[in-house]
Amino acid sequence: MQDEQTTRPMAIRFVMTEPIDFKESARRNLAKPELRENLRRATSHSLASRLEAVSAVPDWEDLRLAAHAIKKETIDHLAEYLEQFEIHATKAGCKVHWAETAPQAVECVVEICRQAGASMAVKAKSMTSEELELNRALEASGIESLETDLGEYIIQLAGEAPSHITAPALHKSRAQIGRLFAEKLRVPYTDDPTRLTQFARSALREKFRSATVGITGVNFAVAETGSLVLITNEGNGRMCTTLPKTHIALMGFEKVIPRFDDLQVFLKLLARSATGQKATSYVTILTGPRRPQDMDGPEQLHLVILDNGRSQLLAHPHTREALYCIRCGGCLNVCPVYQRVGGHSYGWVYPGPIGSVLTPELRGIQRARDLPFASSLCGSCSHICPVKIDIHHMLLWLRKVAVDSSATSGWERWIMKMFAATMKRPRLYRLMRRFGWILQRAFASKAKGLRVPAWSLGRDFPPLARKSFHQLWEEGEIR
Amino acid sequence: MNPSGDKVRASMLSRLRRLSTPSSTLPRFPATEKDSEPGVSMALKVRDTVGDETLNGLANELRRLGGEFRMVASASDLPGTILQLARESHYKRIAVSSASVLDEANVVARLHDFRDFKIILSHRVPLLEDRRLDAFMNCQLGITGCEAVIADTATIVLNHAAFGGRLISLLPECHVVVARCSQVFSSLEDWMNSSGFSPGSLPACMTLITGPSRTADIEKVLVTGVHGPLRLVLMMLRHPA
Repeated sequence: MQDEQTTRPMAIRFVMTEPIDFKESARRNLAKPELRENLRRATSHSLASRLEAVSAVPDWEDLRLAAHAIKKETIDHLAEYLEQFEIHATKAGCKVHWAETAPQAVECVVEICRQAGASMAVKAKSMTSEELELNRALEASGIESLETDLGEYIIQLAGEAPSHITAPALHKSRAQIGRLFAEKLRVPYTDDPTRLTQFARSALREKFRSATVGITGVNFAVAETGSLVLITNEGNGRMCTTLPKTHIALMGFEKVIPRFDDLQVFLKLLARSATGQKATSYVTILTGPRRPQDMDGPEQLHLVILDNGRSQLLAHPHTREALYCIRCGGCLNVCPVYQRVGGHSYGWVYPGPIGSVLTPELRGIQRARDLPFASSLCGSCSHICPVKIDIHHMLLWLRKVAVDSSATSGWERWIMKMFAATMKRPRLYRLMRRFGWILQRAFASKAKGLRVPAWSLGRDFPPLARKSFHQLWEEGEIR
Repeated sequence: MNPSGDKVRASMLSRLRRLSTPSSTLPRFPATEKDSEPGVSMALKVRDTVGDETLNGLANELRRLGGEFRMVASASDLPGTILQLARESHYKRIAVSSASVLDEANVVARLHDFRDFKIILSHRVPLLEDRRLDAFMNCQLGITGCEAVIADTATIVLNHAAFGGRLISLLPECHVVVARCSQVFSSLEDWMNSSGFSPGSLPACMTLITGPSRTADIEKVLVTGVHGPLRLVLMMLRHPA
């Protein structure tokens, strides 16, 4: 790494109105029994099917290593691979745009829509577009923006935000969705997922037909060929990239991979990690817009490559690996915190353990200083990650950043200093223990032990014992 | 690209260059000089046909995913099999792509003999966007060939330039794919590593299709048939015509 000054890029931040109050929203969400039931059902189902799919691959660990190595190579040479990609994509007829910030990217998309004369855009699921709050910007410019992924469609109808990277409506039950459809689509109430899906299919068919612009994300961009790879199960990605005359794809700059062959590794890992499938229903490989001999497909293909704070991740050796993320959502499903509080508690588009790394880095630690602490540091996230991102150690490091950024009170820092001093000196430690034992008798209730505000809301604070374990051991009372 | 766009690009790339490690050890890949040939199916190397075990595995996997697998003894039996499927399901409008496997079996002519079907040829549908959309939206059945079939995941590789465009395999409620046993590969690696496939000649659109379209967005309950086809039928020709 270079010296400190050059490793810190200029602050590029999308203006966020308020800091995220994770503790408060988590508390609110923990008190919703229906939400907790929905979360429990969805995450345990995802974990079970993932486990089944992963156990069938004997060389799973080798695949993870290979994916990690490919991502490392790419991220370490990002500029070269992006240029290589741009050359090949442009040769194939794709127009490549670059955007440093969310407003730049939004402006670029709106301008393309205007030139295409679009009054409506159909969208496939894209976390990057959520990051840009693209729907709101398009609506403000008079362009209707319609989500077509079933989960996204549901939450757009409900006026909510996604709560999971791959399953955006996971926090809703079938009855809630049935009531929503009955109200918004004026269809008879049903809680049968098949019937609900059919309603969405027929409502959206006509929309696909009349839209002039299709907007999608990108799963992988192949430098060697200039291809965009889109992975979907429902086929809405194929619809969005086939029917409208103009296709706009959005991606963070970390989506590039060097070679076409690398797809073998990532396709296997992503499908199994995200949905427990051996292969996702549709892997669409797009190399430029339709060609003169082609019978259909969009006439124009635009790609917007986005920074939006990602170079912040790149700059810090501790968080650089977060750019390896392929957005499978595995770490969300396995996280004991996410499983209970749900995606909306995290306050921004990327929830769960990886979100707790991305959000502070993309939007500033001051705005998201609770997030690195929204973890038990159990390491399940790192263990499940298909590209071997060391997520929980990043969270630990970000805790340090949060503390160093003087976001903690002087009182807390003084206590920690005293604690450190005591822990380093055995004699002082013994003295303090003895002192504490005498002192606590003034505070501890006879039966319930100590009551410490906040701490005692969820757990006991057992009083200090008369003799320490060390003493008991020395005296031979325990063996 | 407008001038301000150029400036953004330059500043982003220079920052990335500064922040990433120096690139002296970067492995360079050879620039692909081969020009693409859209509309021409990527030729496959002549290779040994896979065994029955692989085919059984493929059939089971496809069925597990909610797809259908039908073995067709020879090309001359193909029109009959398609006819039977269309009749069983009361499909009236059928779109057929140009593919050597379908031409050899004379599928179009044979289906024309039965006057209860309306046959649409994908390469003859007017290129006018709206009429083309209409034509396929109203079809119940779309029949295409394919580039390759990957056995372990039951994945069908479709090169849309060679097989009648993108709509024919997307809009009709049932997609029938006709493949020869010689097109079956045991795994994705096997297909990608085969000399017949070259990244330098990618068409504008290629899709790896695994089963019918599906979702689990409502309470993780699997539902097949969302925006893409509700049914996917793979017809495997055991012997060449």
